[in-house]
Amino acid sequence: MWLCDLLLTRPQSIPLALRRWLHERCYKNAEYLFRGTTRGFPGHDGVRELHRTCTSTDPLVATLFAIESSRYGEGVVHIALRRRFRRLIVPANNYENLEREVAVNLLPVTFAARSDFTITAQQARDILVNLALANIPPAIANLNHFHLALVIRARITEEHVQEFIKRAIRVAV
Amino acid sequence: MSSKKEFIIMGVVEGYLCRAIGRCCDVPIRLGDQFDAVYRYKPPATLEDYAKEPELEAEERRVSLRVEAIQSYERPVSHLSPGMTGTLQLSGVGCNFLGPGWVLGVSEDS
Repeated sequence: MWLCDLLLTRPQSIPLALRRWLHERCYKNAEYLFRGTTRGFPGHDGVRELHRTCTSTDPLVATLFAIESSRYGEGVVHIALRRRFRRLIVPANNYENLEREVAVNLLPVTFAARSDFTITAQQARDILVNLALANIPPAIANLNHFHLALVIRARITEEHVQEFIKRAIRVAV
Repeated sequence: MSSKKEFIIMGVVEGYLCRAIGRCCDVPIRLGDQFDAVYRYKPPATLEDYAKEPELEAEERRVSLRVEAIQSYERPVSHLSPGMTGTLQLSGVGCNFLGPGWVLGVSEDS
């Protein structure tokens, strides 16, 4: 249906309620990319110079990034259909395994603008905790602790990911 | 927020110049930067401890390592910004002390 294709181009031009409905109808069990960051953060100069946005296929990884990013402002998780970016995916960095990283050849602000939904770090954490995923700190004070939280995080299943998406779409505003 | 220049090590390739793979902490790392200490932090005991500043686990080891090259996303770069991952090519003394979980930093008295 042509409306489903509309989601692949300009998701944020579609009213939220219709966007939710289209995702449930057209893209059930689709692959999504997750990015945890501070709302409005343009990315550090090093990342902008490389023209890369780091995303993950693991919402728990993105949630930890969002919690750590809450040190600088409102921590958020951007959620986007992976297929929208398929021509922009480039080799990931050294932490591909640890972070389930998918690198996108876009500036972080452009990725944020093209994402389908955005939820807060707190909402993302609440969803994961309700899915019985433990060991997610409510706050992270520094990158050393963040790195450790990444290493010891619970392993997430595909069912968890799909349930996370379903619940995140419901709470996104 | 920590104001120390630190690099969390994930892996090391030893050679004439050693290469450390890891993540830059809160202060950018640039070509020519010098590190003189390697240490580990205590893992947080509770979830609430993640919100506190880390404590050293053991006495730091002294090294003298200089950043000769930096690579990120398969490209040479002039610096790593906070949170970025990459590879540091290092020259000097102490590469044998580096290992996953250790932090390359600058000692308090330098």
